[in-house]
Amino acid sequence: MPQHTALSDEELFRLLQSPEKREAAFRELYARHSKRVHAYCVRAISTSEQEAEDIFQETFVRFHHAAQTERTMTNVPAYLLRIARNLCLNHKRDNRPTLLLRDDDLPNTPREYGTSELLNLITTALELLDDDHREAFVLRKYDGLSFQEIAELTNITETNARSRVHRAQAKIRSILAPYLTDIEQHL
Amino acid sequence: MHYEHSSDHFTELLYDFLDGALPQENEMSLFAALTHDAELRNEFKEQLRINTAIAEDEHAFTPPAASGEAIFARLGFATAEDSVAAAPILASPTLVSSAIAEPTLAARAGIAVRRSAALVLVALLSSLLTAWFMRTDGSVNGGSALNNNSFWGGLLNGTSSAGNGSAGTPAMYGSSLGTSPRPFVLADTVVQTVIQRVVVMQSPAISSLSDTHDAQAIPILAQEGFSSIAEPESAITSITTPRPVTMPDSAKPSVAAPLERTAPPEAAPLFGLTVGARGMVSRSLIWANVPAKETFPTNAALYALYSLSAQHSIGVEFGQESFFQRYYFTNPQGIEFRVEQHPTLIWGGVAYRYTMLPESTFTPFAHVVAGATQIGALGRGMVGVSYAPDARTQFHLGAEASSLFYQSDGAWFASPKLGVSYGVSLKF
Repeated sequence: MPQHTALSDEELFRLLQSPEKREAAFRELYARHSKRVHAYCVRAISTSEQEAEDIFQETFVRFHHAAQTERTMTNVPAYLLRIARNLCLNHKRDNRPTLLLRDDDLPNTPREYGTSELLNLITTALELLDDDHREAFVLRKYDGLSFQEIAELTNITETNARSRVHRAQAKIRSILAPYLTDIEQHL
Repeated sequence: MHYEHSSDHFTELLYDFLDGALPQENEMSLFAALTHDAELRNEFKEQLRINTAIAEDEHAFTPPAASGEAIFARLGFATAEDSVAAAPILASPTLVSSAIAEPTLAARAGIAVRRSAALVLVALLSSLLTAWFMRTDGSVNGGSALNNNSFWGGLLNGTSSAGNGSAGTPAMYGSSLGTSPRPFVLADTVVQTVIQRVVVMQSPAISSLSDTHDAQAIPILAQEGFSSIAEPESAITSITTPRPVTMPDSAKPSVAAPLERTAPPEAAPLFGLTVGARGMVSRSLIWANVPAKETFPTNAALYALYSLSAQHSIGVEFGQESFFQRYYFTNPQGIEFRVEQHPTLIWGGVAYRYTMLPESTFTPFAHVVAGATQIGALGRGMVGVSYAPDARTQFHLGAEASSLFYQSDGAWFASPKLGVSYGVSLKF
């Protein structure tokens, strides 16, 4: 399998139309962007990990299918996140209250929450945000998008995008404040 | 970037600074505010801690390998499962979505190869057991037991009550032949068979029969006590009128002619031990979203049973099998989690088998196991049919139901399965 690591996203995207090079190109694009897309699916969608994983998979499958007809792609990660977002919006009406997370233990073995306690708290705090603020926060903090990219993706102004991110940050901090103080005292 | 001088002015500066988006011309005012605003410093620390924690959110930034494999499979790409041995599922169970597609042809081939290997293992084990048996049986055939005239003579000319053809169990035969040599561990079998032939030979109507018995001409064989003789079932089904047989001394055959037979009697178990291997093809009754990480040999079992009687056997059974699990728990924050995994578990337990028609070539049977795995209790039950081409070998085919029972957060969960079991066993 030829090396594709040196190619740009756009070049790899074009290779998706080549039957011989399609798989290698797709694997390289998956390696580059799967983490961001997964983080968005898991943290921004978040009502159900099962749905998040479904959307994560479906995003890449649709991306692959789209590459068979699209000739050019200037911003692959933004395109992937847009697919994920559209899938997410379609799933919103089917939200379930249960939050599903991967577990690395068998059910009868003891669990330790200490090491990732703050992350659990952040996850919980994200749950308490409304969808718009959570999405903006995740796109900014997890996916590293600029306010302008967030604005384009979510069809809002850049000022609004910035405002949503900052409000989300303030809200999360206020939710976590008692715990952060507690953690501070134990450090 | 324009910043309004509101009460949140420095907070916004702080957020942008932490994001690396604060213009340089605004940095000095932020730093100045931090020097005299304790609350702002506190927020700075807390936001920094939150950012650091998010950067270490491995769960968010690590797509499950199974998800990637599922994507590649859906697109028709080769999956890692085709070439990489599955990691022990107990160490890292995987949760994936229900959107996992059908495996690729290559993946299916890999699964088929592993299952075939399990079958080969079962067959190899059976062959080894059979070879051992054949070697032992050969010593019977080639040894002196059946061709030993003194043995036959002693039997036929002795005071054996069995010689008159009266009904009795193998044990009774054995005791009645106490004066005869018992050179071989399969003596009971030999005795039983010999009695049959004595009876045959005393009948004038069949005195000219060869070793290949014609059941139509040997009604005497149908009497009670000979039901375990390993004649073809079809050969004795037409016999309906059992009657006692007496053998006058004058009618006793000479040792010479008819007893110069070399055909071995059918071997029958002496120790009452049955050793077998079987494979299972089953499906979880809970719709499994997660592919099983099969570790060879998977869905196979070995067992050893001891016969309490012709119909009842108990013993032990061990195996390795994959079970799909779906269970729930609530973490200290009150969030409910659902976990799905498909581990391969080693199990062992106590087995009981009921054989309905132990003398028949085909016999229904029921087989139950109560046991345990690494993570919980296991119960399984099977009903099926055994085919015994000879007295020692049996092939089994049956329908099996099994279930794994385990606990999470004090609640019990079950992983029921239905399937087919097939195997072979040897009696010793």
